Amino acid sequence: MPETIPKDLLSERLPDWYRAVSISLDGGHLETRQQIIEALAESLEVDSAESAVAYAYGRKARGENLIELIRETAREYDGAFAAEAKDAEPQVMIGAAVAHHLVTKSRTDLSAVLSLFALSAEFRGFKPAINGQKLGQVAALQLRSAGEARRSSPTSSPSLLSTAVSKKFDALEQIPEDGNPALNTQVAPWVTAAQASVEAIAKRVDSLEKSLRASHRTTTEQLEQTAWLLEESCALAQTAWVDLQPDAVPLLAATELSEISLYPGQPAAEVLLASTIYKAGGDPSANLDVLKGVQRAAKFLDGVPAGEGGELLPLVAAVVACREMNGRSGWRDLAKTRRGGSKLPSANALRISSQFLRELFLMQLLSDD
Amino acid sequence: MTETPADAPPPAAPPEATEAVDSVAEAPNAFDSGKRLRGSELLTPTEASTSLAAGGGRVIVWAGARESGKTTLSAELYERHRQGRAKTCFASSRTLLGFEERIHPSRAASGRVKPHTPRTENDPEERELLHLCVATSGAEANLVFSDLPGETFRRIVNNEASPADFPLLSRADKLAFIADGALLADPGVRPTVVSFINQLLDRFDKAELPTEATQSLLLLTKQDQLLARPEAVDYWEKHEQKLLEKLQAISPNASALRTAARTNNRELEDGMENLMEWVLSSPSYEEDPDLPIFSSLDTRFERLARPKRLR
Repeated sequence: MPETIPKDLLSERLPDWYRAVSISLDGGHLETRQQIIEALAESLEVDSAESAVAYAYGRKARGENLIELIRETAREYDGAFAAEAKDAEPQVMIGAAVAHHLVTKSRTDLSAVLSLFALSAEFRGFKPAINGQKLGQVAALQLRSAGEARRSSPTSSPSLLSTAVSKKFDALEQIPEDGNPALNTQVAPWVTAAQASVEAIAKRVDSLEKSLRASHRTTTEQLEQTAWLLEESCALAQTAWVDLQPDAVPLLAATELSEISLYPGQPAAEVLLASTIYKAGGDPSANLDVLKGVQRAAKFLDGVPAGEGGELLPLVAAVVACREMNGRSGWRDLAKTRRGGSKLPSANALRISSQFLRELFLMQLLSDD
Repeated sequence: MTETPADAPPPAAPPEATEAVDSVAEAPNAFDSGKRLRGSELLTPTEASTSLAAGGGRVIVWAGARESGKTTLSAELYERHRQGRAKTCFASSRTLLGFEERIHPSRAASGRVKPHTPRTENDPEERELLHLCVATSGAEANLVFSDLPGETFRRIVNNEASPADFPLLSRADKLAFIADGALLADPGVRPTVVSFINQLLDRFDKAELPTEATQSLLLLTKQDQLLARPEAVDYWEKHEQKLLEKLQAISPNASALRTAARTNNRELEDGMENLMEWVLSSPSYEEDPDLPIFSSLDTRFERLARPKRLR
């Protein structure tokens, strides 16, 4: 059963979210701030999504890309607003705006991008700039909800039967009114009724086809994933899973799963990844050296979309850096630079695999835009 | 002497002189820049919010009877930075003159025989907040001290007002309930101190304050005067524990401290460093409630997560 997205999250939580940066938590001041945050939520874009989420997770340097937008938006409601990127209030505003966007526009690709970046930030060990905010949970709920909606929403066929039927009837001439009286009083009503019936049947067929296409799509995804789960070999490495190096398995499993998944946020994704890691003889809960895994898997990952990765795309950054330098010395430093300089957290096989899956979905969504 | 040729154009006026004459009416000054030159007035909540907006903010409220030492606490925490006695470094203050106005009568330079802190009166503009920014461990903390008059708490105790009527009391990150050591030392009025705090805690409890986001403290001031009377020390130790337990019943994170902000006894720890540590400790906050995230395994794949071997 899909969880309900809490659309009133902003109005309910804003007094607590704003506590650290304001004394007045009721009345006009907070109402004005809410209006600013709602306006900021509307103005979020794909191009600034990574910066917005990184800033919402306390990465102050990313605020330099956003502070002008924040100031301009805020001054439409509070002419005296003045803040620097390093201040706490603009970070709170962006954190609240991201959360508000996720719960009010939960079905858009932009929300999916924001959510995936938020979960990447959680993987990196960053904490929301708003004390006590559970932005990771909001992100997970948004992805789950949007994924279920995508999988169950009907999709139209490229060609509709009702359109074809209408064209056929439109091409026929109208029955002339001053023609044969028998034609007008007896035949014409039958023909008109027949036309209406055919058009209604055509609409019904189109509606049934929409539903069938959606369930077919979902069923195809499930069948492909089931077949993949039962497959003993890794298609990317052309080798049995059990014969692969354990630290390469999480990245390869995530890559193959991303190719047969319709949309992120599938509840079964972690189960599928964990099962594949078990199948390869590994332990999903065992900690692995991420970069060693990248080095071992990189040669099989030619299909990873182009891009340098970034602070919230750290594993893609590592894979791309390793491939660019052919695994030569220095690729780790390049990867570190591209992910913003800080260390990667210690993580188990399942977390690494889930994170890489997220980053692959992000690369797909970002390249679609 | 140089002769100017007859057909040469007259020398132009020096550009500086022309600009000065034209620009007198437009000369920029501090009042045009939008920055206010502060006097000794305190901040309103809206003004103080801009300090919190910068980050690292804490709102500290001293809750106590008249002349129990509320203003002295704020002033002395500031003064220790001026004297270089604090472990933290002074970074800035938007109410520097306000602090000076309050601390100066306690200094020898004021010419007073006995240190004195001016009484706090109600301000009709709600200018009740002092600001002190200190630097510690590479980060800055913006401390906003409330300067509420003792009259406020007398009215609360007398049921003439509720704590809920004062937004600062629910907004406080740090709330200290003050027991006046000088009054405790006086056997004639000693019980009124305990009674006052008991009733104050009852009023707060009825108003469902302090909130979970407020850290509370039972704070004894003028400890040096209490220590001069051993029977007063015994009296306070007996009641301090009971009051602390009562406070912890409504504010589980509550603790107790003793201070002597203006003691001349060099062998007595004045407790101000501990008080500053309490002020600077990270504020509490209420976490978002957990969202209903689907946490159990998808049953369709549950069996596949751990496939059984075929026999």
